[in-house]
This record gives sequence, structure tokens and C-alpha cells, in this order.
Amino acid sequence: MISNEFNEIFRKYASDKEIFHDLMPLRTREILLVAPAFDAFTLEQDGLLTEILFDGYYQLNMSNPPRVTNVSTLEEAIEKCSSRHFDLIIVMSRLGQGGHVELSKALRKSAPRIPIYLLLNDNVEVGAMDRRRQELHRNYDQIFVWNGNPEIFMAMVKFMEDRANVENDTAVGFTRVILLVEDSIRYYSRYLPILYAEILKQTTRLAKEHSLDGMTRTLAMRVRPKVILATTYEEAMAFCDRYRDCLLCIITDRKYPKDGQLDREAGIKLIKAAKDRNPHLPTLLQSSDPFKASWAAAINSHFLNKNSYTLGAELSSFFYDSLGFGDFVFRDQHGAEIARATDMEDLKAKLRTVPVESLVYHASRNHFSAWIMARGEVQVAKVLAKFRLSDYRDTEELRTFLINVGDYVQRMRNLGKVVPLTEATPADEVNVLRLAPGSMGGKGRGVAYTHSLLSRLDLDNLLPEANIRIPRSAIIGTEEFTSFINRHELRRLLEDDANDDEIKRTFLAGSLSPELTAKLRLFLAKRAKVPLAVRSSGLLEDSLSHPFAGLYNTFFLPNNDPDPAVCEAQLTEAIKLVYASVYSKAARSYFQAIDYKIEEEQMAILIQDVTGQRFGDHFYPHISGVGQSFNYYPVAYTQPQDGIANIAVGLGKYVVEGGRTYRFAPPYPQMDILSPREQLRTTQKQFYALDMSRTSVDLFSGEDATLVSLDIQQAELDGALQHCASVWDNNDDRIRDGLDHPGPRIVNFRNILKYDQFPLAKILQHLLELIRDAMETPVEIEFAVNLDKDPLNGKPTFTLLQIKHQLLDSGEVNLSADALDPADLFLFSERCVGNGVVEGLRDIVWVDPEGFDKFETPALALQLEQLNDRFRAEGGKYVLLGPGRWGSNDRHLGIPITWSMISCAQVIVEYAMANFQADASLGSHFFHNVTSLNIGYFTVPYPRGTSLLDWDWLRQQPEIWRSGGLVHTRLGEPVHIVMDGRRSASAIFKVTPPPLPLEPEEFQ
Amino acid sequence: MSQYVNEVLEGLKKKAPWESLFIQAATEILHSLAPVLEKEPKYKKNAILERLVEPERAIGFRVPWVDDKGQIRINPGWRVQFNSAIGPYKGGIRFHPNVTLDTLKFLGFEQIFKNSLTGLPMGGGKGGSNFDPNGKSDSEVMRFCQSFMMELFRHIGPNTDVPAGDIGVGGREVGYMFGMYKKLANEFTGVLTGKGQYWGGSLVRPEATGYGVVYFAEEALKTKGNSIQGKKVAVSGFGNVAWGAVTKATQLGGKVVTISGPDGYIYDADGISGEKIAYMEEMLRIDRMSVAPYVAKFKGAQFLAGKRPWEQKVDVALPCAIQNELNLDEAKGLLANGCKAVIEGANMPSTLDAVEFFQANGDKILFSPGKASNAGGVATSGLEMSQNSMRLGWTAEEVDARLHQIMINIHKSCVDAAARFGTPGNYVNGANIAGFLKVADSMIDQGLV
Repeated sequence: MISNEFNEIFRKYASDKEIFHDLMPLRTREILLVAPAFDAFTLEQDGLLTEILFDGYYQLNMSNPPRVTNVSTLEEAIEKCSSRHFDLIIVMSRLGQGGHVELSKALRKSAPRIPIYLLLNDNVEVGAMDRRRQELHRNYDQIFVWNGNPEIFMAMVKFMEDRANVENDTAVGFTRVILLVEDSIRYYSRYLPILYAEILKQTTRLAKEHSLDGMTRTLAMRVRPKVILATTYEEAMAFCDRYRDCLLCIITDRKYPKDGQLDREAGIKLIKAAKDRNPHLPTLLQSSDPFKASWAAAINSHFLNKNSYTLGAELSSFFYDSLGFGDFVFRDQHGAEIARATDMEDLKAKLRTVPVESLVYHASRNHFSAWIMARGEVQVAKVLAKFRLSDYRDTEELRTFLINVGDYVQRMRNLGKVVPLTEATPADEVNVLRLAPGSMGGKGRGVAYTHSLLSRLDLDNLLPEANIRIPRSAIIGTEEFTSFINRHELRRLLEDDANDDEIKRTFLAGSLSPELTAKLRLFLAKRAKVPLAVRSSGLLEDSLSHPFAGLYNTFFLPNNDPDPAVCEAQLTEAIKLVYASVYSKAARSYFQAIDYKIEEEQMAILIQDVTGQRFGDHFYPHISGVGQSFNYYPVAYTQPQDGIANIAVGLGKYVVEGGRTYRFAPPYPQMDILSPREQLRTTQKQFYALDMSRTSVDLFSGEDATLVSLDIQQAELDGALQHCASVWDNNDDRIRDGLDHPGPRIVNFRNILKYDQFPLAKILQHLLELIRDAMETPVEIEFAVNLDKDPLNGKPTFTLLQIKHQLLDSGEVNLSADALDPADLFLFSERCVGNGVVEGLRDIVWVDPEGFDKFETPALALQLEQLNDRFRAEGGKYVLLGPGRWGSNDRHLGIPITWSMISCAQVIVEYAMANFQADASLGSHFFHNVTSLNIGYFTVPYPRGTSLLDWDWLRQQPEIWRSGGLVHTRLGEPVHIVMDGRRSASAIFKVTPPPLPLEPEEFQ
Repeated sequence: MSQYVNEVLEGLKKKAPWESLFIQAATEILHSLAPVLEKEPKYKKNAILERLVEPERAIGFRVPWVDDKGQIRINPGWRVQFNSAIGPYKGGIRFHPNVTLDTLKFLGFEQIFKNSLTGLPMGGGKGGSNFDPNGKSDSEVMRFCQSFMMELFRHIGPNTDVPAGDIGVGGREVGYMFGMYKKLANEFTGVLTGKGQYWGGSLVRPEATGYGVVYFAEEALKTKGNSIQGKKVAVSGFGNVAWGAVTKATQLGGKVVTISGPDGYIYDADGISGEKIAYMEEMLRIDRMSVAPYVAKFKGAQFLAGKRPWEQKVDVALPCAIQNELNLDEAKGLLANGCKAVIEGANMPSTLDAVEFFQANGDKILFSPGKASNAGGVATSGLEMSQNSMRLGWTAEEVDARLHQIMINIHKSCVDAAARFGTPGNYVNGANIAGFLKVADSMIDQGLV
């Protein structure tokens, strides 16, 4: 019966982590601080308020610190409230200054639902306010006093959130409640920051101890106990009733109002009344008279001297010893300690041995529930708290049940976690293994996060047609790299400016630590011999502003030598070569270019099973691909938010390196972005596979040492192309689905995307949405698909290889026509494709609209080709401007060029004229080139509308060549080109804007 | 310059100055007819030019369809039935965002003379819509094609107007349109060409243009007492046209020594024949942008990166790749190297100055413009109509034989017309005039209709 109910409740929420999402629905995002100029200055002197909140939030790993908007007058405050939503208004005022009550009344009127807190300037004000107490309480939701400690702001924010959320959180998440009873503004203003700091410190400590990942840790903070404040006996009792099941403890002053009178024993009476209902409820009596400690002892309560110099430490002790935040202390029926458990593993062990009386003692007092709750296991704690002793058949059932609960908690915790590799570690794919300590690096973090994310999603129900998983992975933390560099004194290579071969040889001569070597041996011994990918995972590799893709090495190992020592040697060699790639010439140049020091980089290693299957001497997946949740080149009715996927047959190297992939929008798999003939022209012809024919490999020669590039025909011979390609019927000028016809193959995945042989589009659509929402930013995923059915469950397998923020070539940009000065612009248009910033282009090749003869377009095409050849020979790039549509077959609609004739153009502009207008092509003729090379493609319509094209300026620039209507201008300074992909707007600035002026030193 | 031509063109410009494409096409063609018009007053008397530039019928209609998101979309559709003096209207349907009535009048006008030149009973027409097949699903394309045909079906028929494919209209689109026509008209007739082989399509379509180029070259060489037999032939491109040209030139005893791609050209002194021709198709499969793989397969051949074949010493040049692939310098080089004939397979592969150079040296080198020598493709459309009318499907050999005869006829028409109007050997003039004469005389014969 118990088990059934247990399972029933568990089914409601897949895991605690989902409950976390439902907790604290109100979080403070916007604060309006109304403070006179002088008080604002005081705050500045004590540290910027915003910084205090930021620091507070980040130190505690809490997300989204609130934004503070500062105003100094009533008018400003009302104006702000009318234009923006605020979660909390803090009015800082002196009582002597007139008007603040009026201020609060006016604010209350303009924003009736927003809490307004009064922050008095100093303790003197508290005494002065007594006469106006009622009036102030009518107009302010809570009154605090500034005592010089800026942490009061953090406490005010948390207090407001707790007050707003406590009802929900106790109902949904069984969150515990701390009842603070205190009527002194001065004291609770001092005490609340200490109390909150303690709560957050303890919760954070436990989250860290339990190795929760970053996101879960942040979410787990939401399960922290909530604080509610009562100022009278009656109010306190009402709270006791309302939150009876969730009450964690009562912290109470000794004297405060009861029955409308100050009662010097109100605290004593409250504790007695509460203990009558729950004798085991922890309580803390506080008093500024240390002699009242005996009163507390008499009612079985803890005591705290309000004036104690060690108030914080004593409060810590109370939390640690009495509220379940410390060790679990097993006691006998008399309360004497008989055993102590430090963590869940230890608790499980002790549960097997402690006398049953002790179990009864703790179960009857809900100690197990409280202890587990403090560790963020809401659901388990909630279930445990529901059961009474009478629910168990006998005491042994109680013992068994508690042990099972311990097992469950541990199992759930390991799900989606990175766990150290030990002899006892099962080598299944549930866990990501850690082989050495230190940071996991960019890719490692991505894999760990992906693992955690997948474990939380109910993918079996959401996408039942496929197995969705990550490859079995192991991470070597950065400490091994640091120690490797230090042990072998490799930084000297940087000083010596050694060449790449020398660097590789030196790195290969070094040895990995004995600990890692032993781990690698164990790792290899524990798993079947499947090919391995050894990937770099640099600390900076997932940086948003500096794409590091392809900078470091990745090696694929066949891992198929019958001698385990050979496999181990290959793996070791690959690791050392990945390390060496940090010091490579390419990496050094890149670091120099982005003004980083290579010493700042540290390298972790990610070892993963290669996704694929063996076809003769080759190993590869049926499909590899990259999905992006934001598409900068939407076509037809697709929206940028629909995302885009590029897929190909074979290893993903082909896709990542910009090979000829098939492109589709996941919500619209039926849509052919390219016409049948264009599909034929741009289809995949080769693919990468791992060469399994050789057991000995020469990794020194580079990343490709173990790979082979094969004709797509090989995939057909292997049987891997069956659902991935169609045939071009040359005689009937059309695509034929299936491979039964003779003719060129078009790798367009028809059976999968059009005939639902495998729900790839659906999987991508769901995953991109889920991951984008989880990461709150556009994301890019790499994946691979094995279409052959897994013998275990008869499903094909989709493997998620990597998750990362969607890299923007030059950062996210934001262009607004209103904010631009036309005088700065050579061009502006809101009909563009492309995204990012292009810098350094000085060459403009343009067709002068004056004297343009639309019947001479073929001749212009030839001239253009010759000019492009010169750029190609010199390795240069240019901005190209011409009338009508580029690449049209119809010479009357534009200049009839093919891509090779303008291949060095980095930005292409098609402009319309009064007598020469063609609909914008936005690069559709060269779609593959434009998208894969991130070419900017702008259209300037006629009439111009919001667009702009400054011919006068261009004509004043130095021309180095002109023939007929075609002109080559070379500017003195490069233009600055900004493409706002989200808005389809682009601008070409005449000169690169100067860097923003630096702040004077004293303000930095 | 004929005053009559100028009057007609001025009239056009006044009537519809916005139809710039059509006016341009009319200007180019009518100017080339000046010698005929000056010599034969009957054409002016019968207002042939005024009648020619006015389509017999231009149908505009709404094409409503529903996209995959359930949203209603509307495109305009047109069919310009330009001239039926020598047979049912015949011309492609184009689906492309740039299509306007002006575009279709321009294309339809040119089609009258292209079709006439083949000697087959085909009038001129063109149709289309600004529908963009890119970014559409098969279902959307099908719904659009069906809606397009729901209006068009009442204006076409095997003896009235026989549309074909064009840009944006391939076998898939022809299939969808044919299916809807069949349902609406309740008859299975050859109302469209470019059909699938199982339901009325013809054989030899991909290679027809290339075959035709070589047949034309053979006829041209014969005028000089020569033939392809034993000649060194330079072919550019390696797509369908080039493939057909290499195949047929080899069959006729020529030695094809070059083919080319965007990356450069192959020179194979041993000649491209047998398995090498088969490998051309394979190369298309490997990479449609590169001919370089040829040299890896056939030792002895050279790959000349970034260059074009016209620098080679050859007897016959067949430009079959793209527009403007043969410039003035290359034209001079060919002549200097003793080239005897340049027969175009692509559309306007020679630059204007190169064409002028060839014409100026017509006594030393034969030059045929694409509009004459690449008519094999259009001719095969006509042969598909013939097979449909006969309810017969010819073998590849039968189609080839008829194609051969058509190309002989085209060549003869060009030669005769050029000679008759004072520019013997000028295939450019000959082609324009020959196409015109048949249509114009037929219009006079049939009276003012």
C-alpha cells in the first residue's frame, strides 16, 4: 500500500527538478528605489545597490538578479510606474522630510498591487516613528531601517518574495517555513539579513555537497525554507495553524503584543502552544537578556542572546544541529546519540544497523523527512512526511522502506550526472564519467548539461519512435592539462616560438599522470571495443563572443586492435596531441588576434563513443547534422524562430566543415528549400567514415589520419543510402523517390523527411525548442542518427552529440533605423539576409547606375568575371553592387553571372532603379553559397522607402578601375558592415565607428 | 534600317512602354528582317509585323491555392497564345518569381520563330506565373499546378495549344498539370510535352540538343565539302548538351578532344569516346561543378584549370556550356588555329563581338548561332506531339532519325534564306529570316484572321 502511494505521488512529477520549476513563481525582476539625492549618494558610497544584489545573487548561484531603477522625486516615481512594471518599490526617506506618506499614497494609487516598503534612514527614525506607526503601516507594506548594512536590500527582496510565494511553495513543493516573531523594526532589520544569509549558505552548501549541476543547483535554491514575519502573538498563532505541516521552526522574541498589550512572556506562550501541537518542533527563543536562557530550557527550546557577538555562528549551529542541515544524528528513545550519518550513503548504511527504537524515535518526529528536505529532495520528503508510524505493518517494514527511499534518492541523483570512474562504476550509458578532476571545459560542460537535460525530459513518451541519447562519454578535467604542462615545463615552447611539429613531438614525449593512465586503462577495460572520439574541451570553447570551433584537434580512434595496450597507447597519444593543439600556430595566432593570452586557456578532454555502425571496413552513422534554433536565412513562410537543420550522410565532420548538406526547416520537412534542379546541382557527393581496416594509425599526421573520404556510391553499396537519397531522372527531368531508378543520386533524405521513415524533423523540432527554452538563448546542436534498429527495443537511435549557444559569426547585432545617422551610412536596407559584422573590406565593385545600359548586362558579366579572377589571385574580398537580380538566367533582369564569376564577393547588393526593377532574389540563385559562406545579401528597393544608398559619397571615393559601367573603388578606410539577422536589416557605415570612449580612470 | 520596322516599333513603344523586355526582343528580331521587308512589300501591305507583335490571345487568370499551413495564396497566371499560323501554339510554361506578362510576351514572340525554324507544325506561345517552386513542398507544388490547370485547361488542347516545361517547370510540374487536365477534359491526349516516359513522353530528350548541334555542324561542313569524319572537335561543358554532342560527333567519326566545366577543361588527345563518354555521366554524378576527376580516371588526358578549350588547335568548336563562354580573343585564336566551324549548342555562348568577328570572317569559318543549331530540343518536343497524335512511341533510333532530318531541314532553310536575301553563308540572318518567312507567308495564305 505504501509503495503504491509512493509511486503514485512520484508519477505526478517526473522528478524534483520539475517541482523546482514550479516553486517561487514570483521572483523580483524590477525594483523601483525612490531615494532623495543625498541618500542615493550614501548608497553609492556603500557600494552600488545593483552590485550588491548582483554579487548576492551570483555568490549564491541564483539566477536573474533584479534590476534597480533609481528615482528621486514623486513625479519621476509615478512616471516610471506608469511606463513599466515593478515588483517592489522601496521608499527611502526621513520622517522629518515631509511628503513621503503622500508619496506612498500616490504610488499606491498608481500601482495598487505592488508592495511598497519604507526604509528609514537610521535608528533614530525608528523612535520618532512610534507616534505615526499606524499611519505608516497603513501606507507601507513593511518598514525597515537602514543600519549601514547594504545586505538589508537583499533581505528585503527575499522577504518580499517569500511573502508572495509561501502559499504556493508550501502547497506545491512542501517547502518548509521558518516563523520569525519579532516586533522591533530595528531588530528584524538587523536580523533578517543574518537569517537569510544563513539559510542561503546552508542550502548552497548542501547543493554543492551533493554535486548538483549548475542549473539544478540554481533551481534547488528555490526549495530553501521561506521566512514569514509576525509581530504579534495572534498573528504568529495564525501562521502556526496555516503552515502547521510545513513549519520547520519558530524563532521568536520574548516580548511583543498579545491581546493588544505588550506581553513580556508572549514568546514563551507561543512556544508552549506550538509544542502542544507538535512536541518535536524546533524552537529558538531570543532575548536581549541572557538570563532568560533558563526560561527557554524549561520549555525545551533553544535560546539565543540577541546581543551576542557570535549571533551568526550560534544561528548556524541551530540550523546545523536542529533543522536537519547537518549530520543525521541517530538517537535512542532517550535522546542519546548512538550513531551519526554524514551523507545519504552513510545514512543508508546506518539504517541497516541502528536499533529499531531509534528509527521509531526519528520517524515519529519527522526527522528523516526534514533531513532529506534540507537536501533538496522535496518529493521524497513530502512522501515521507505523509506517513505515520501506524501506516507501517511493523518496524521492519519501516526500516526496509527507509532504505528503499535512500536507494531511490541516490539513483535519481546519479541520473544525468557526471560521476567519477571507479572499479565499482557500472559501464552503462546512464552516466558521464569523470577520469580526472578540474573543469570540464566548454564541450564537456555541454555534454554534462545535455546528459542532465535528457534525463529530465520524458522523451520516451514525447518521441516514442526513437531512442534519444547522448554517446557514452568520459571527461578528463583540466587539472591533468595544467599538471602535464607544468610537469614537463612546456610553456617554454611558447617563448621559443616552436613550430607545430616540434610542439607535437615535445608533447608526445611527455607522460600523463599515473592516476589518469590507470583510469584510462580501467575505462578501456570496462567497455566494448567501439571507436572513440577524443575531443578538445577548452575552457573558452563555448565562449559566445569568440568562436573556437575547429581551432583545436579532435581525433577518431578505431580502437580495434586486439592488444589492449595498443588501444591504450593510441588513446594516450590522441590526448597528448589534443593538448599540443592548444600551443599550435593556428591557436596562438587566433589568441593573439582576439587579444587573449594562450596561458588563459586550459584544456579538458572529452572521450566519446563514435556514433555509427560498421559497414565493412568503414564506420559511420547514416545521418549526421547540425540543428540551429534560429535561422538567419528563412525562406517562403518559414520564420527565423523555426530554426534550420543541415544533414548529410556519414560522419559529422562533413557537415561542420560546410559540405554539401541537405537543408530543411524542422517544422516543415515537406518543404524543399531548393528546386529539384538545384538539389541535383548541390547534392552531397562524398562523405567521411572512420577507416577500420588499419589497426595502427599515425595520429601525428593530423586529425584526418583515421578518416577516409568516400564517394557517396559507397554508402549505397553499404546499404546506408536507402532512406537517404532519391534519383535524378534525366530523361523526365525530375526527381524519382527511392533508389530503384538508374541515374545520379540526390541525397535529400526523402524517405525520412517526406515519408516519415524516421521522425527526424519531429525530434529536431522538439529538441531545439526544449533546449532553446532551457538555455534561454538560440542554440545549436550536433547530432547523428543510426537508422538500424537497436536490438534491445527495435528503435532507431538519435544521438545528441553537442549542445552549444548558437554562435554568431560576429556577435548578435541590433540595428534600428531610428538610431542611425544617415550621414554615417553608405547603405541601409531592411530587406537583407545574413547576420553579424563584416569588417576590413575596402574594395567596392559596383555597376554605376548612371549610364547603365540594361542591354549590356552580358558584357558586364564578363568584365566582372575578370575582376573577380584578380581578387581570387590576390585572396581579396569585396562588396558587390549591381542593378536587378544577380545570377538571373534572364539577362534583362540583371547581370547574368554564375557564382564562380563573383565568388570573392563577401557582401552582395542588388539595387533597383526607377527604370530597372526586379523583385528581390535575396540570393536565392546562390542559396547554398550564401548560406554556407555567411554572405551578406542586401536588396535596396526602388522607391527607397526606409532604405538608403549614397551614390554621391561612393563617386567621391578613389576609383582604381572603371570600364563602361563597371567600377572598382578602393577606399582609404574599410567600411563597417552590420547585418541584423533578426530584423533582416543591414547597414554599411562609411567608416568603422571609433571605439567607445573609455571611462575616466577614476570611474572604472 | 527599314522605316516599316521603325514605325511598328514606335507603335509598340507608344502602346505599352512598360513592356521593355518585349520591345527589346521585337527590336532585335524585326531589325534582322529588314532585308526581307525591303525586298518584299507584301509583308508591309498585309501588316504582317503589326499582326506578328500582337498576340492572337493573351489570357490572364487568378491561381488560388492553399499552402501547407492552410493559408490561401494567390498568384497571377498567364498564357500568351502568340501565333498559330503554322500549327497549334507551342511553348513552355515558366514558374519563376520574375515572370510578368511582359516576360511571357518576350519569350512567346521569340518562340514563334524558333518553332518555325524546325519545320514542324508548331505555332508560338508561352505561359507561366510568378510562383516560385523554391521553398515549396511537393503538395504545395501539386496544388498550385492543379489550380493553374483548372483555368488553363479550357484554353489548350492537342490541336489548339500544347504547353511544355520551362524554368521552374520540370517533369514533376508537367505531371501534376497533365493529371488535372486529364481529369477536367476527361481525355488522355498529348496536351503537354515533357511528359514522363510511361505516359506519353519521348525518348532522346536529354541528348537531343547535342545530337542536333552535331547534325547541324555536319550539314554546315558539307557546304564546304567537308564532314565531321576525322575532324578534331572541341566541345565545352559536360552536361546534357555536351554529352549529346560528344556522343553524336564520335558516332559520326569525329575525334572530340575537349570537354569543360566551371573549374577548367580536359584535353584528351586520344579522343573522348566509348567508356569515356559513359564516364561523363558518372562525372555529373560525382560533382556537377568539376571535370577534374576525368584525368584521374584516364591517364594521358590533361586538366587545364581555369581555362577554356578554345585555345586548342581544332577543326570544329561546339560551345555547349553557358552564355558568353567564347570571347573575341578566343574567336581570333580559333580562326588562327585553323578552326573551320563554330556551331553553338548553348544559348548565346559567343560574346557579341565574337559573333561579329565570325560573321566578318564568314568566308574562312562557318558560324551558326544557337537559335539555329540548338533547335534539336524544341524539335523533340514536336516529335513528342507527333508520337502522341499517332498513339505511338518511337524507339530512340526512330526519334534520332527524325531529329536528324529536322536538323537537315533547319540547316537548309537557313542557307536558302540567307542566300535569297543577299547574305549567303550567314546563318544568323538565315535563321531569323527562315523562321519569319514560313510564318509570314502562312499568315498571308490564311487571310486576315
